[in-house]
Amino acid sequence: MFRSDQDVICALATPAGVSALAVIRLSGAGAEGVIRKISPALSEKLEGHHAYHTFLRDPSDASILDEVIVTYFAKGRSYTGEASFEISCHGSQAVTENILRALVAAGSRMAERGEFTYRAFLNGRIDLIQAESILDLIESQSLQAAKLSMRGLRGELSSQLQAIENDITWILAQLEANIDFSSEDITFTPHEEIISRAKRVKAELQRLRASYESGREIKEGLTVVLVGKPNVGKSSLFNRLAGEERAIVSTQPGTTRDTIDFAKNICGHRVRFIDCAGVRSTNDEVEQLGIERSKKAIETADVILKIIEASDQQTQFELEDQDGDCHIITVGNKSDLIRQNLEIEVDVLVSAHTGFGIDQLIAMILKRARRTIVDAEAPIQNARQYEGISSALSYVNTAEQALLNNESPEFVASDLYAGLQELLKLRGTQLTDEVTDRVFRDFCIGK
Amino acid sequence: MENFDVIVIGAGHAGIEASLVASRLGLSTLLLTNNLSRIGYMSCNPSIGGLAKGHMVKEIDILGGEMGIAADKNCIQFRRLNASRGPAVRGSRAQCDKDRYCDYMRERVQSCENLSVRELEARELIIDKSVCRGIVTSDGTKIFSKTVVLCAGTFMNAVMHFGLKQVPGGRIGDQATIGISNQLSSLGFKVSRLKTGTPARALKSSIDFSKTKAQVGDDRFIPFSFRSTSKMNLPQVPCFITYTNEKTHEIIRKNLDKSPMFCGVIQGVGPRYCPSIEDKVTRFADKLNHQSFLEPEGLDSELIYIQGMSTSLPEPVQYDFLRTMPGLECVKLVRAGYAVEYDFFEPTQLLPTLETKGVTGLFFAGQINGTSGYEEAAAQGLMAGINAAMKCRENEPVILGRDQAYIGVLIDDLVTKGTKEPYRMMTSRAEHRLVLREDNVLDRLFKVSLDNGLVADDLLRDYERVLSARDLVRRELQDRSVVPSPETQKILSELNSPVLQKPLKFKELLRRDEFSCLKLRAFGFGANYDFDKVLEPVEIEIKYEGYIERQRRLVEQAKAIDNILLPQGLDFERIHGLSREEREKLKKVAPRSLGQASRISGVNPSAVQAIMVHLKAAERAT
Repeated sequence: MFRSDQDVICALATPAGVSALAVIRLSGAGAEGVIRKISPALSEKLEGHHAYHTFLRDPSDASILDEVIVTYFAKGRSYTGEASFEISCHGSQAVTENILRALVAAGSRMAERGEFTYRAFLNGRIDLIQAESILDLIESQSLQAAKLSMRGLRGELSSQLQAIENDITWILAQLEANIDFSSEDITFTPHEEIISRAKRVKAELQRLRASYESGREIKEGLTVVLVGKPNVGKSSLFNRLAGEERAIVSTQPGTTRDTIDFAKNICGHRVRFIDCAGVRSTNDEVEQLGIERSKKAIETADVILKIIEASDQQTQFELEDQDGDCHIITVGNKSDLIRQNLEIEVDVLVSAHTGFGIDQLIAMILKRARRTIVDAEAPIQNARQYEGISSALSYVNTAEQALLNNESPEFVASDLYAGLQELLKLRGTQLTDEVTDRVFRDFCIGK
Repeated sequence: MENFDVIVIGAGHAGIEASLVASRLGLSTLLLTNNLSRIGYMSCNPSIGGLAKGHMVKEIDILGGEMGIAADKNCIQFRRLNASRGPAVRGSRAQCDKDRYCDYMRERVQSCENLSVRELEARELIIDKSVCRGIVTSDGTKIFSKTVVLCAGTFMNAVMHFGLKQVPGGRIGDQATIGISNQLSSLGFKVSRLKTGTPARALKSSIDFSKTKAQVGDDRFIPFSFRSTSKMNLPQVPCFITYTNEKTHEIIRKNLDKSPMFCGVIQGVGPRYCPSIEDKVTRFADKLNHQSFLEPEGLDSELIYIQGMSTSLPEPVQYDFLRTMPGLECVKLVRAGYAVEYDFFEPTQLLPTLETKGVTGLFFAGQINGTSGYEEAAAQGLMAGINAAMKCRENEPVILGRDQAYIGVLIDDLVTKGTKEPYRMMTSRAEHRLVLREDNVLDRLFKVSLDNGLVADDLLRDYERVLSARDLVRRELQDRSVVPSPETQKILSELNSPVLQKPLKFKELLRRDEFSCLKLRAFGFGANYDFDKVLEPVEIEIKYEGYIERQRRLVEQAKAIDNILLPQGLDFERIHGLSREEREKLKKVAPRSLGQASRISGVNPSAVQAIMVHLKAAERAT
């Protein structure tokens, strides 16, 4: 189900974004060793349920990451049942990400979704039903996500998986008959037909895997990133969208040095807005850092609001190539300042100052969100499913290659069985005698 | 009052291996048979081995069993099936001379030290407070023993069906065994019915072979046994192929009302991979003809086995439809085909040692466990015999893993999943089949033989010699290279292999599709080594290294869960999160490891996790 249960795992326990404090959790038998690597000054003898004040340092260069409070939970007396730590740090995304990175460098790994709860279950801290309801609670972040869960429960993903499993079983039956009963007088399916079925399996898995992206958008929300040259009013627009003063607004270029984000539900869709540092070359080191972070935010964007000043040709800029799935909306801000005919082409004209055009902009963003839902017939919903499908797909790819190379059927079969197992694991079921049953049903075998 | 260590009931393929191995391990052993002239008799087809079965014969051989060498000595046609496929699914098969095979086996058991062979029927077992202490013969004599291995084959409460006529008996010419299965049933053993069938035997002189197509054996003979030489003992003879046709099918269809299978007279479940001809004709109605091999039962035998035509239709109908087939127009039958129904014990009642869970000291092997096939029977007989011996000596039992041998797969499947039809081994049953090959059987099982003293010292030394020769070959292939000299390039182009740009290790050269160890001889490699035992196994290892390595990793993963042992008497009722069905199945099988639990059909991964949660909680509580 999850990767090794022996690993030390870590994750941010509080919502991502800016807040006064954030909590990072660390759990596993070796957790103390991991935390000591990044907290050399931590008290030598730790007592359960006690909090310790300490500095966290980057293990590579010993630079200070943050000043934190670390709470220790002894084995058997923590949420997971394992030795655990909770790190209360400052609530900026930069800080939390740096700490997590340092924890991974020190020998832990990022927890998969629900893995803390899974461990609590494994260690007998909670029962399966509790585990499932906690996972559900964590996962239903929005109405759409709730709907999606319902769909998962009704078994749409299951039935799609079963159709794929059925195809794989069919191929395996053809291969197995050709191995175990090759000396009998039976008519084997033409090789081309087997290949084409393998291609179908591959295409279906690819489609499912792609649906994860849209599934993720629904669950985690659509990420909308605001990009533009300094002083085109990104932060004003951000605040307008947020409906509150979140970003510090000034006329001084380069005011936004870090990325700032917030999420809200709009018409049932979870939308996360990220305000980036202005794109310009700078010598200011801190600002440079902010710009790096902006680039990262842009990479994860589902929608980019390319913001220019509607009346100022100088604020035009080119975005670096985005992957095909990212939607760019060119927004002409400061429409209230337009005095003459517009020479710049934009998708929508707005004024963060007066609120003009904001509804239209939101409608455009929502259109993208709705497209996602239309695409997502039975999207896979979490990292576990994504991983399972991806790994099944890679086995099927190898099997297809072996078929195309005319390799002996048992080699093809070994990959197909592995792929099939991955899919069965997702549905929580086991491999039974289906392949054998199929061989006897489809072929006239008899000595 | 007589007293033995081990009593083996039944001298078929299972009983022979059980009694031989126990007596060779130094235990006083008694082998009982109802018919001394039919020791190791091949009741059905005259061949040993085949896909997955050939693998088992080789495993039996390395573990000191007799079947491999007996098949080699009496082979009258050898074929390697799937020869063009990958190495893991190549299977050796030998047509054997039935009478000579029997003679050989009788001689072996009768001349074996510590082993008494008697023509006696065991009527009853002596069971005292769930411990088996011996047997009672049909004349009321008691013979005591520490262990009993029951290998009664298809003879328990057996009924033969000739059309709608029924005759008690497990095989023509032999009686049914009545007492024991009823006794065990009354002790609470679950007994069910299975069915099997056999085709007619024709008189050789009544067949016109000119109307059939001959199929001869391979030129290269690869013996099953490590102890055999690659020279055949007996001359090779061909088999002959003929076909049914629309007329044949019409006759069969018209007479279905006379088939006990179709009239509901037979209740037992038959094997799906070995259906009767009436079954084939009805289930695959659009198939215009069915192939049949005419197989000689021996060099001097007048009997021809009509393969693929097993039937329980009445003899006159058999004559009618067989005579529509080319070559069989004037066929005379020595014996008509018939079906047999018999009792078997649900094998989930067994421990992986093949000892019954209910009665200490009582072991079951062969068809009474619901299997079919000589090789499956022999494999179980061998393991039951070994474990009966280990029990007498109070040694640790010998249990083979699924990644170690087909025999391990066979027994684990039986005791974990049970069976609803006669169980036949197939390569697809072995999830680790890429590492369970005929060529690496010695690597897989050498240590088991060594640790348990299963083979004589001189044979063990032969095993070691071959294993170290393989090591030498591996090292040589790794260490030696060819350089791009004019001679080298000339040899390569003659072999249609690309010339060299730079020196290349022998090992890398061998990886080329067009290369083999034999071709490396052109570079002065390997002339001193035995091809079958040394060169070919290493070559396969190297050529298929990628696949084999991947499978090994999967084996390791599987082992992690197999190594989690479940405490004896684990109370599945107390484990939270199991369904009622899962509880029932787990209680019935009482798996020894979490891996075995995960293989029980109907026990889902969530149940496996629930058990793991329970174990961890218990661990913490102590």
